[in-house]
Amino acid sequence: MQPFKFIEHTADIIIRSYGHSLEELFTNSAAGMQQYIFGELRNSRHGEPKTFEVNCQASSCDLLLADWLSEILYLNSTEYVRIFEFSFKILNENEVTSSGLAHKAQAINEIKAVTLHGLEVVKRNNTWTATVTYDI
Amino acid sequence: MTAISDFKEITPYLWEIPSSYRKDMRVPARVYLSREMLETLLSEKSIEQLINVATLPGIDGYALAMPDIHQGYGFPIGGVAAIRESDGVISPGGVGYDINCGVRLLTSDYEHGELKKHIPDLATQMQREVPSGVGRGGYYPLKPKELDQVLNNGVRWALKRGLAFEEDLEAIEEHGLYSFADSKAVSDRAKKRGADQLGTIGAGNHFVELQVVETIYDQKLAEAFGLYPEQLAVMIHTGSRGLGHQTCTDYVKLMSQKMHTYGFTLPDRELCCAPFKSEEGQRYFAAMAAAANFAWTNRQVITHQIRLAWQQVLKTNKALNLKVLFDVSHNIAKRESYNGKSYIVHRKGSTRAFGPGRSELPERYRKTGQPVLIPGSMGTYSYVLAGTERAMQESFGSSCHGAGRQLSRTRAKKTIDYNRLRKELDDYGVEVRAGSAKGLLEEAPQAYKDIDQVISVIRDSGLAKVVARLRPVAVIKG
Repeated sequence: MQPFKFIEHTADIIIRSYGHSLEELFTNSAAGMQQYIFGELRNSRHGEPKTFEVNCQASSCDLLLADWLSEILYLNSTEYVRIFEFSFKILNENEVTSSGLAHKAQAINEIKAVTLHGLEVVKRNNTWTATVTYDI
Repeated sequence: MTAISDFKEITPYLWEIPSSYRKDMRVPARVYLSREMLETLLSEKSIEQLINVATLPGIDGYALAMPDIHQGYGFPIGGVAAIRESDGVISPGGVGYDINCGVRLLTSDYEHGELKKHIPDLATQMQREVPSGVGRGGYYPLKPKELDQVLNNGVRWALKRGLAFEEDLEAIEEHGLYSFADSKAVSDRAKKRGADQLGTIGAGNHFVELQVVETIYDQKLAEAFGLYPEQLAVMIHTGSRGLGHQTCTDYVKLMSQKMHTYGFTLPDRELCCAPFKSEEGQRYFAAMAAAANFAWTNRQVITHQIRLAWQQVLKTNKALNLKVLFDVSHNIAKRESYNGKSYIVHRKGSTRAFGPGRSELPERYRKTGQPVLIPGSMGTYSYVLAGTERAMQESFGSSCHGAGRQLSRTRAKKTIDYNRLRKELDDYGVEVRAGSAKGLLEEAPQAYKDIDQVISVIRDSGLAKVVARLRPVAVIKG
């Protein structure tokens, strides 16, 4: 199973990600977004990693994912870091308590925001799939 | 998906989907396009997005789209929705994440021939003085108190800091200060995201371009706008940077959480909105206005840096005499009156195009109608138009905002050859100062619709008059 793929959109970008569990789905969704912003991971491992907390609550799983990705985007934009590894203390369809390991990194692409347009998180045959449209 | 048979042809350049097409539509949807352009558009989702806009509570007249319409998220790009202030909503997605993204045109006292040999140096120096690219900070990092002053006072802050001339302010929509702004409505997170970005272009389709006035179509209007053949000008295209992106993110989240309390059902969550008169609606309007002030000040600080760059290269104070012809917003919600009724006009990828006589216009443009600035893609023409009375009657004083994308960035990178593109731009006489090959490919002219076609539709539908066409001679991008 591939972790994520980029889907063409005239003006923006869609990332579809997959996972056998919610943890894997969230991790792969973030990895797709980080790869779009910073490029291949091997190009952006510099210095001692720092830990950041990323916690959210929402009324549904898709809104939770969108909020969580928005938090990561905020850290990318204000701390100039790429988050490359996540661990989850709590993760259910309405709450996530997580921490991420991050390196300083130089962005190569800009994501302005995570949008709610066409946002979807579904589980079929034991596989979770998320579809997220980003404004770029 | 819609078919051509779903449309009623109002004129050869105006097509309507009646409100009976879908049960939840409150008004018809209208799009300004030639038949050929409409047929091409049917394969993407932008018409469906326009129909979704027609469902917004309080929308009046029509959900409108300009000829540069293309697929966005929530609203289509090129969309206009006039929503009644009394019982309607305000939607952050109807403004977009880059609040007050817009265009400013500076005119010089020089002709192209006089400065031809200096163009490469001017391009290089402008690139140095105006930071561009993802995450690049500017030369004016702001402490929290000063950032609040920018948000509340707009370009007046720049005037106080010696970064503007008094006459610059006359030629900016709202004179560079949207009076509804309240910095307290902007989150600390949004402020943190924008604090070091004042005076920066950013990435994507944003740019600074050195252009030459190539063709004058309307001599009288050109004279009134101060344009003449072979004149050098500078076009700036950017917005409110990270501060605007985060402000929109914050309010989309807030309104999506509160939607159920308003009793609205909408076909796309990105259209989430609040009654304009509700606490959330008022707060978003104040935050959006503050972000708009940040964007106008951003373009003002860039103007100052460009003036410095010209002075450094040309070593004369005459270089400071770059005049602001006008500064237009193409992602904004404006409080405007039509036929005695007050509206919140959402323009997402659409430019205000007020005709003659409107009190909002600067004195110098009150008889001509406002200058409407339409950037082409890199390496193609840009246009200066003038707003018309027809636009006031038909489109809530609105026009298009650019060429409009036709290729995704991925497809552009896959199908366009970098070396060939560089050669084409060289042959066309454009000095390119780009941060990356990737950025250049993504914004190649082939990735955009034909700007001439878009302008023809605007002209033939009477929404604006064509005044002048400008050709790029240098492009600076992230």
